[in-house]
Amino acid sequence: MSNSVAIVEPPIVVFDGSFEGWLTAVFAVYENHWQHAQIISIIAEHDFLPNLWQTTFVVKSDVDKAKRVSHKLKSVFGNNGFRQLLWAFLSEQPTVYGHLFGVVRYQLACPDVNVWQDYTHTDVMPVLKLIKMVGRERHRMQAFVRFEHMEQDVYFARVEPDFNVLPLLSNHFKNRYADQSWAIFDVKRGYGIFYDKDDPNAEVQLITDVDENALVRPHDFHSEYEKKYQHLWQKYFTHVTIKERKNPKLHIQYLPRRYWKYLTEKNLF
Amino acid sequence: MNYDRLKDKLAILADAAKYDVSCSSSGGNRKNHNKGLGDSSVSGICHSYTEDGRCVSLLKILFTNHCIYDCAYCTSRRSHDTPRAAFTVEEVVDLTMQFYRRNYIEGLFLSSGIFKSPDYTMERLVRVAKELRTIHKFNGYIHLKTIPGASDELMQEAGLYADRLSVNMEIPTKSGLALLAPEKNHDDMKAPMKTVQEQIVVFKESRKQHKHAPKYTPAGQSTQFIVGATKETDLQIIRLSSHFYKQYDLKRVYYSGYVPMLTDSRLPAIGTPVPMVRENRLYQADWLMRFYGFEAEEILPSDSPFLDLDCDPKLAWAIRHRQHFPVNIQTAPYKMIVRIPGIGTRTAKKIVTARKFTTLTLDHLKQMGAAVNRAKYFIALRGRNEHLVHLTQDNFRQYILAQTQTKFKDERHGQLTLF
Repeated sequence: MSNSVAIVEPPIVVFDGSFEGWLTAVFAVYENHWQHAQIISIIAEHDFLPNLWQTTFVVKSDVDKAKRVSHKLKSVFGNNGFRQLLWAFLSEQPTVYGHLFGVVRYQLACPDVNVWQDYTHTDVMPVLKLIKMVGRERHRMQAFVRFEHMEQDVYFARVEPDFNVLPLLSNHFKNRYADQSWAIFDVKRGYGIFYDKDDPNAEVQLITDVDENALVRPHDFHSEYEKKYQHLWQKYFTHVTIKERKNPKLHIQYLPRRYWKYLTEKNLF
Repeated sequence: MNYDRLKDKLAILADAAKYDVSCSSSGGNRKNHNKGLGDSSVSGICHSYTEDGRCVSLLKILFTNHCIYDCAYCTSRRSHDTPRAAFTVEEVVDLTMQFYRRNYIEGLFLSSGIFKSPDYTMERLVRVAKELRTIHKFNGYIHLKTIPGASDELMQEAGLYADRLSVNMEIPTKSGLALLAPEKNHDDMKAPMKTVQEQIVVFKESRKQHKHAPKYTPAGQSTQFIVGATKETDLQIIRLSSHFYKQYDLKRVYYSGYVPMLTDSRLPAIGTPVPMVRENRLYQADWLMRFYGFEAEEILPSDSPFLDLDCDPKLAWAIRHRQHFPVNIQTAPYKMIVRIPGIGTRTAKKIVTARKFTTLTLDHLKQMGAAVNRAKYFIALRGRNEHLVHLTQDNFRQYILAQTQTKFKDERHGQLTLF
């Protein structure tokens, strides 16, 4: 090889944890010709523990660079493939950023290959697994979100998903609840999405700030009939069980305990 | 609306509906086109799970549990001393809307005991669906029971508002039905299925002409068999299911292990265990017919009319047909790959794609989701597969069953704990 610079082991690339930051990191790797190195480490700031013998390269999120990279990635992966990358990214797993880079590098090197079909590839396989996990969590949230009707005529739900799936839920809930105002708040990550039925643009907005009390004691804000429908639902839930077939192990397998906190039917009062 | 009375009704009419196992909300493709409420998810969504591990996708209730019939297997039978109740159309509509708004459910599954007459009953079920669709702009999933004997006009209207229609055959054999429900017969129950099937064809044709012609039961029809209330064999059940899939184009057949809850000399005694393993094996056999390209005749040879409770029907088939194995995963066609025990349709598809890139190993198969503990005895790899030596041995079946775990072990040995 003529270009010996590329063989030198590159530093650890540290980015701010945002998707934009990761795209900028990908830009930086190619800009510095590190892409041929066997191991490329891309790590989010909050996962990074500095030590003495590794050099680091800190990337600052850059809108223009991120745009150039996402444009390029969309052209080689297609819109669907690009969305796959984002899904895996939302898993927030410390190792995902490096594997994602591996997939990107593979696709850029072999533009004619559908890399997603190479199930046994060392970067494709873990990324596909994460996509599946994120997809499953998204589906669970579509199922387990429980709205409570508030005085202000807003249907409000609290969630704590394992992965950061709220951005993947807007469309589903917007299509479903077009005629009611609703909000879903991720208590763990401190942000939520909000839809106002009277908004002429019918857009889902990001919200970061809600009344603390509504998060802790939502029943203080309930509309007149809310409690009654919660009771009816609980009644229904208890009565559809065939007690001769009770199977607690299966129940918990399908409805893991960590989701019970916000499930109306599992909080009999 | 009297809230306390509504609560009692809900308890009675959910209790009476729970033996209907269908809770599927998949296959619907209704879109929220009118800025109304609801949008069907093609895959269906299970919003919760009962303590017996069944999915809760729909608000599944009877309109009423008053019934003019006296079918021995049914909790709503005329002669059963049980509290009776009936909803009003308005109550069912309100519960559906309010539950849906809170994301508890995907929609409504409305069945009913037959009060006064089939038409009188069907008319009410149709009215619920019609009001939800037209007055409340509800685009969620609606599954209605078709009441045998109801007029064709009502059936036609039902299909315009519902995503799925169903009639439960319940008892798979004619002799069983004659014993337990002498007032009914199979032909009367099949008649509405035929009507619905014909309507589906008619509406499909008209949609080819006019894109905006209405859809008729877009998620198709289903039915249910009770398993273990009479002396029917698995072979009879599987053949009957196959008949329904082929002749009536059904989307699903459900199998419901009989839960003894009524004292009757014609029925298994109270306390008889629910045949859950048998029910599970029937579902596995059903899947083989619908997704794995198996014919009913392949699943059970006519000289052994019951499914093997110790191993799943695909493994049982493979053990009986060892001449087809080992299957070379690097070269075999898809339809043979899905016949390998431990490999499902998804893994089979992945194998067919991934093998273009690499030579597959057992480890790869594991990563792709195969149950290698079973599959390894049936496949040829490019390298050596040491597990293949067992395939030709006489005690192959016993060997494999000893090596593989089943979640039903306790139940097979009569130690099923119910509570």
